[in-house]
Amino acid sequence: MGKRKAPADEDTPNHDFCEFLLELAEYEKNVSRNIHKYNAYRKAASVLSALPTRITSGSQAKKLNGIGEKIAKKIDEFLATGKLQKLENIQNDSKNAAINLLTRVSGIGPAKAQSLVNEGITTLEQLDKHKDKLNHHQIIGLKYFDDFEKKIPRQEITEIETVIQKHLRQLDPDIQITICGSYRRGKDESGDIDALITHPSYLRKKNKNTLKNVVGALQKCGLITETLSLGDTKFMGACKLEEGSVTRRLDIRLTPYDQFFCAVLYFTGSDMFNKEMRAHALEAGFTLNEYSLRPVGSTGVPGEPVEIHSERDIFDFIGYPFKTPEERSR
Amino acid sequence: MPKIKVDHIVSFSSEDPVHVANNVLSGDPAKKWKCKEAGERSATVVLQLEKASVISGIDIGNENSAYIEVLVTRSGTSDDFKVLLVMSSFMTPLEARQSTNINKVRMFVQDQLSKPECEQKWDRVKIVCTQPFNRHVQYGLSFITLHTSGDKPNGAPVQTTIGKFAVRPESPDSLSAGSLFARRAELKKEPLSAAAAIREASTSASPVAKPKLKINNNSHNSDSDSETKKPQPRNRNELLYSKDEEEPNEKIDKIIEKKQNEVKEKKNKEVKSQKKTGESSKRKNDGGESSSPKKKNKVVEKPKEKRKPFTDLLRGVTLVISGIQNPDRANLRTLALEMGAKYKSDWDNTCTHLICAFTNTPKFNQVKGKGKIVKKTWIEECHSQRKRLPWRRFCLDKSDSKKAESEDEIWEEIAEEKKDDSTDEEGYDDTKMQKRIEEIQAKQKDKEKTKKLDTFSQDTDEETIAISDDDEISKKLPDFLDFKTFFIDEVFDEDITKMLERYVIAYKGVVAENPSTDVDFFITSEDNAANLKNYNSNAVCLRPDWLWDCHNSQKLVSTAEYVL
Repeated sequence: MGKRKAPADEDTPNHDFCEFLLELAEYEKNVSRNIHKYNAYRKAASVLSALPTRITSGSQAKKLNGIGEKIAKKIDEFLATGKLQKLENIQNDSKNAAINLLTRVSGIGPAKAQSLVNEGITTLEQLDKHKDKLNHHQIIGLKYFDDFEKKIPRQEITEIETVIQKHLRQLDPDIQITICGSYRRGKDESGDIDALITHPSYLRKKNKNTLKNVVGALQKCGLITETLSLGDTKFMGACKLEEGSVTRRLDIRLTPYDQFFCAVLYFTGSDMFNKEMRAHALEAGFTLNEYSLRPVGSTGVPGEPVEIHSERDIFDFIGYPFKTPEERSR
Repeated sequence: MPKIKVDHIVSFSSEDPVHVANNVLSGDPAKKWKCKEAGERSATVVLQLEKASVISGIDIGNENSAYIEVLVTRSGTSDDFKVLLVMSSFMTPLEARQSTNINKVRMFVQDQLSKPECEQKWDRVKIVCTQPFNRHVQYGLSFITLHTSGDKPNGAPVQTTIGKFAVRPESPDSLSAGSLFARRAELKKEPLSAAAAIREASTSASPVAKPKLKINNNSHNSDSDSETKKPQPRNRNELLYSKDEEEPNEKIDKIIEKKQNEVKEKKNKEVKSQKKTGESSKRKNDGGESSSPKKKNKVVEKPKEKRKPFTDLLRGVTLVISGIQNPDRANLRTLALEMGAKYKSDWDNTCTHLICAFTNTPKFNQVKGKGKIVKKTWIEECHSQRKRLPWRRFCLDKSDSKKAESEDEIWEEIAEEKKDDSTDEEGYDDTKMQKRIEEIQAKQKDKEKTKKLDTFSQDTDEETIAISDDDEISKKLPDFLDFKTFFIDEVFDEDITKMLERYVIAYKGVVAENPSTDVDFFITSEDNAANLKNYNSNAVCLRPDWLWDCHNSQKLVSTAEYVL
């Protein structure tokens, strides 16, 4: 998942509402650190962006699922004045701006940003002088701050995918790779690259070396340039297609073969779609996560994972109309 | 595993007039239980068990349900049902919609049941079936069978669960499939050991080291001697066994022993006058034994066939099975038990034979060099030919087969006793005599209460032997891997990895978590050796066999043969 969620599509009729709602959402997440308000704003924005017609009043918006009294009022205010006082205040507060800026560094979250700002560090230049306060991940994040902010064109991801696939095939022809995230949802550009790999022989029994071997091979060929973290199942780092091109954030996850499709579904997103899908699964008597789909027993205890052979199987089990990755953006 | 008897159906959500809930209890597979209306949200049935039991296995025959869940509770409490078997899939959505494969049967063993519910006793079972994928069928169950653990009878005392030690099963008052044979073997075992005690007594003057694998009840003479002589190991044992378990037994043992000796002496006279067939042969064995006092693998071939009752053919054999899956495993076990062998799930010092499907299973490596490893055909052939065949003809390990045949064939019918475990042939009583003693003892026991005490005596004895062996090992444990660092690759199965780690640590080696440059040896497979070499080219990649062989020979073995 990228650092910043894609802003609302410009061509939807309500995109200006979405924009200020998403900005408020960021504020709630980064500064007040209230994840529920963040979720509420994001849900409202998601509902509005899906609407084919322009909203003309707060009361009209209130009828939508996910928009209540307060957001309706904000829409009214925005319609009347063209701006939002709350947002103005937030934007004018230098502390908030600094926190928002620092959270854009990969590896710095709201809490770290807040503590840095409290220590008087408000700009990237200052941060550069106080590297002792940062961990390895954050230092790399700062080093490639500009690169990581840049969107990755679809074409480039395709090329990177080809390179990875070529090397994986040399390593072990049975390894499968899927690039998830917004790339899989057909977006023209993405914030980072989210790759999932699996191997038919990898079924619960762990082989700690698989991921390390993969990363090792990609390092050798020069694709992976930085490692933020590397465990048995998850690699976080950065890659560069060729000398002189922009450094990109790359995550690689190794999933057991029997969990692969749940993982692909989860990491393809979008996160709003995942939420909806999980809610639907619960209604249908199942619990869904990135590992498995399990029926929920009469006392609420999840049952044994059901066998899944494709993404479509998951939709099938919970009776949700199948959506292609492109249809899951919302 | 014995079945648990279901008393009656307590309640159910609904039932079809034809396919009633009671059908779940009938053994007839054609009789099913179905819910009344098609498309019901769930169908449940609650069963009352005859008595509270540990449920260690469940077999379920499906009837059109997609998921089946099993919950348990105790009828005396108001507690809610707890999940014993989580919702388990019996049909995929596709199968459900097409109504294909509607009668799938799944068998769940203890590992698949929820913990700790699978270890507790329950007397009420609720089965919940659902069919969310097809609203147009009536669904339910065709049967459910609950099993309780076969090795541990229901009312077994708590001590049965202590460690790995074989605790003598109490005489079963209810009949269950496995316990019948187990009991039979047990009953025969006691008198045999009584006879052994006489032999023991006659030879006790010479304190020869006790044979390792001998499992006799009344070997107290030498045992209690050794106890008093070396209290050290005893003290260590007390860490494992509480005093009250141990001390009373010693006293009891002596009393029983005395009594048994009295009885036997009487019987000796009787028997000797009655029968003499086996005696000569026993004496022969005696002679052989004196030439190799400690261990003896070969027995002088005799022209005359040895004979034993069929149920005694494998007397003295305690076997462990490896690499053979059910139902073969259960069948083998049944055959062996019928012939008087004992079965154990895991190898310990009392075991004599490993029935193994292929080499290099964890158990194979554990037993190699310690016990006799044979193919399953040994049991099958013994059973079908109704005679005990020499195990070496069926040995799995090639190195074993080179040696001469280990023992004579023993035919069915009554003749003299010949123990496979040739280590304890100092005796000169014949089987007939033992049998007599058995009979009389059995009669006596019925009258007296000594039976219970006897149980204790046997337990103590087995333990004592096992422990003294342990002691030897721990004393001898060499530290030949001292300060060497190992990395055990993840390519092996978990239990093998664990075993390898244990061995390394036991011999004072160090196990590294990562393949770093500190590592001296990689224990790995052929495929991954090159990979590991990348991490540390100085280290040596070895096959796990090396470690097993080091362990077997108790010293550092040259690595040359094992390098990858």
